[in-house]
Amino acid sequence: MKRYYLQLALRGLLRHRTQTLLIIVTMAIGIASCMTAYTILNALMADPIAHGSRHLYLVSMDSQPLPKPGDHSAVSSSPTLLKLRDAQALVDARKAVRQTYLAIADVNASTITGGAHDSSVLTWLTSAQAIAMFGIPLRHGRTWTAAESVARAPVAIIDEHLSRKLFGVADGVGRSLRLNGHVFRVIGVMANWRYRRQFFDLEQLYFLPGTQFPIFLPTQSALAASIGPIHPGICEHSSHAYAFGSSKVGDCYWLETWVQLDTPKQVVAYRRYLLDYAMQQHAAGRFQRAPKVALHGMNAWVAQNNGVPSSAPINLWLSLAFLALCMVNVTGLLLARFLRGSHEVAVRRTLGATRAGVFAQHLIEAGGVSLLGGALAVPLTLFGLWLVRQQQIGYASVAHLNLPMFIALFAVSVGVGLIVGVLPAWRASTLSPALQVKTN
Amino acid sequence: MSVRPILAALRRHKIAAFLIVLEIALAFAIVSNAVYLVIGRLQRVDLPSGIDERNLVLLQLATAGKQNGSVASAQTDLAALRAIPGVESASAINTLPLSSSQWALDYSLRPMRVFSDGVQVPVFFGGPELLQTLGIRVIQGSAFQPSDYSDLSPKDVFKAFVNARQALITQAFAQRLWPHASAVGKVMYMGETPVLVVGVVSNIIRPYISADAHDPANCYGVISPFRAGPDLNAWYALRCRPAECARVLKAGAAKLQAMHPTETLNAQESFTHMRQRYFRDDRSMAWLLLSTVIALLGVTAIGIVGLASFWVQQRTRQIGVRRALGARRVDILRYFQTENFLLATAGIVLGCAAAIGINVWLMAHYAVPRLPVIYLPLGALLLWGLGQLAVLGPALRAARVAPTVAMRTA
Repeated sequence: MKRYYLQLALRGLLRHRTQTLLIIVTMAIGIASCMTAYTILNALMADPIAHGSRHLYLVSMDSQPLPKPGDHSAVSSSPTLLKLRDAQALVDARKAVRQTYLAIADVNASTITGGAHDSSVLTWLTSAQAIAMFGIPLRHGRTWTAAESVARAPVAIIDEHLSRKLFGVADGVGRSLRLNGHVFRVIGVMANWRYRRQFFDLEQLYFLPGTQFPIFLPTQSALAASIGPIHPGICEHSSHAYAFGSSKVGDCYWLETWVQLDTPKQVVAYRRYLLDYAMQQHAAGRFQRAPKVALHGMNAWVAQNNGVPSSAPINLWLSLAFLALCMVNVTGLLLARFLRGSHEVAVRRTLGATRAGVFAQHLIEAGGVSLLGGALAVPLTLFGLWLVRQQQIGYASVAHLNLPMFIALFAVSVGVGLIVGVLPAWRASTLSPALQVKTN
Repeated sequence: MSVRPILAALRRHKIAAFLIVLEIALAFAIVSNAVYLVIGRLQRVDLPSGIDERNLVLLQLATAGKQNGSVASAQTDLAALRAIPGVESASAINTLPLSSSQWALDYSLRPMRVFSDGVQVPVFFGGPELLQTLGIRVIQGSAFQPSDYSDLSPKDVFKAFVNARQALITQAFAQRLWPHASAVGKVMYMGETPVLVVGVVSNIIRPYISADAHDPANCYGVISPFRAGPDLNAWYALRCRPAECARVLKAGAAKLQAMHPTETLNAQESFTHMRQRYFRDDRSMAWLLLSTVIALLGVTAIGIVGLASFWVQQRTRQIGVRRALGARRVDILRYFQTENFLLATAGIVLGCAAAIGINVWLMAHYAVPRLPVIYLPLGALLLWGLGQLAVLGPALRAARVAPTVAMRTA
């Protein structure tokens, strides 16, 4: 029976070629526009880093001083920023699976002779586990050891791009470079790493998507070479001058601490540890405020502080509305098409076909048309994404179709086909056979 | 043309009529909102920068952070650039409207201990020629005295930069701080440092502007009395005589390159070009939205044509009978046109409600401004027109039905 319906559907499709084509194209355009917008949005809402961000947490600990009496300007509280002393204590304690702290600096890099140089290179001041924790691929060499960091060894990890630019080779391990005039030795070369969405320093500095950070330095070594963070945050005892780029940041709140915690149990235990630490410091008089700690999951933190550009969801909504319109339209066309064939349906009904049979047959025809629409939507979606990539929009480079999207596309098209088919098929199946045969 | 028989006929085709109404309602709701978004984008693109942008060309040496890009060397470069025929004025400026590279500080009416609590305002500086080069007018008070200026170098930039004691502020920012009084002679604070406002200048827009073209903060600006050199990434801005800008740009680039054979030029472009680059995203976005709108209207038209053709085919016999009974061709044509008009009207009424609903939802979630009322009648006209255009073909076909059809049985 099913085969017979399929045959009928195929015959129907071939008989009204123009109309079939119209339906298929309308459907394909709707689905393709939707999938294009969805693919872009999906890419924009992706994990901030490829490695998987669900086990990474940002430490928040309120260690800032109480406002001075008579100071009316509200202290903006960024409890995610810690002094080096506290960040170092958390990292040294090794209570999490992995832990690291980081801040951003801006340095001028050159070869020893000054032959090749790169000005204003964005640099991470961080600790040894950053590379492993954020899943940054290390191509050559190694990361620094705790001992090197303690000894303030002038070592650096740079990316392949900078290595090529300065040394002419991708593997610059063992070479030396000048950072703001101070000599550092390259001990590791990482791939040209790009995070998918900015997750660090969101409260202080915002970087355009795709910004690269070609140098990683041990924080202590950088400070020893007078390389300080771009933004030192709030500093105690130094209210008169804000020391941008200064390495005298002992009194400043400037480092973000990230930890990796793999199980909920570890999260609870770590929060406990943080609270203990804060209470100890409070008791010792270092933390003036009541102990308050929190762990922010990376994804939630990013969603909260670095929203997707508002044009992306608006485009998806627009496309969804467009798909809805296409669906209404296809419903109308299918209805017209089925009712045109009502004479034929009447004959079949009189000859004994059941209502359910007629309904099924029409639904199959609708499903078939929409499957074809879905198939046409694939090249159209690819074309749409290509078109978006041609536009010079900041996030255009993320617009690529992947397998899950592809499967979703087909699911959507079949679903859409069945939804739009139901009404016309039902209408066709409820036609009274006798009346139709008589009037025609 | 009496409406009643049309309504009676439509009652027999509830589903099809409903589908057309729905389609028009959807199209109306989407198109009015989408077109509004497009216009919003385009308004940003056309935002006046407040500077004499058509006669401005820019050069930038890649010497940031190096020894040989000091203010002194900038003065030498500028003197050479001023000697180029067609250059009216030249200045080395830290940042420019729409340059995407912002120097900003937070200012407030009260001293602040925490540095990020005031209003964030971009800071422009570039020696005494800055005002003339960019074409900025002093509206109240006066410009800086030549003795007010000091040099900035990378070594002390941040310390000196945040300790400027005098400022010129834009009209928009003056209004923000002192809405009811003249700003000249007043004091504002950058952190705990008091800054004297010596004058108010005409508005210029920021290096970055916000999504809303009408945001007054787009025109907040502070000008500080500093000279800058290429080691602070300063731009050489040259104001040229009209029609000579292309030549000035070329000659300027050649001259700079000749003076600094080992350096590269980061940028050599006209301000108009920089502006186009800045708004590239907005134009692309507007273009994408616009193509969606066009596709959407096309699809709506296809839907109307499809259903109307079906009706015409279904009613062929009925039309024949009417023709045989004396209806003229134009009556048949009018019938289908009126029918479409009625359906479109119903759709538009429904669509108005939906359009407003969508806009309210967008306002709540995506900081989209309120849809101006004018869009509704304009959208209505558009969809009435579209409906009439789409139905014209099928209606003409209906009008051609011969009266003899009435006599045939099928």
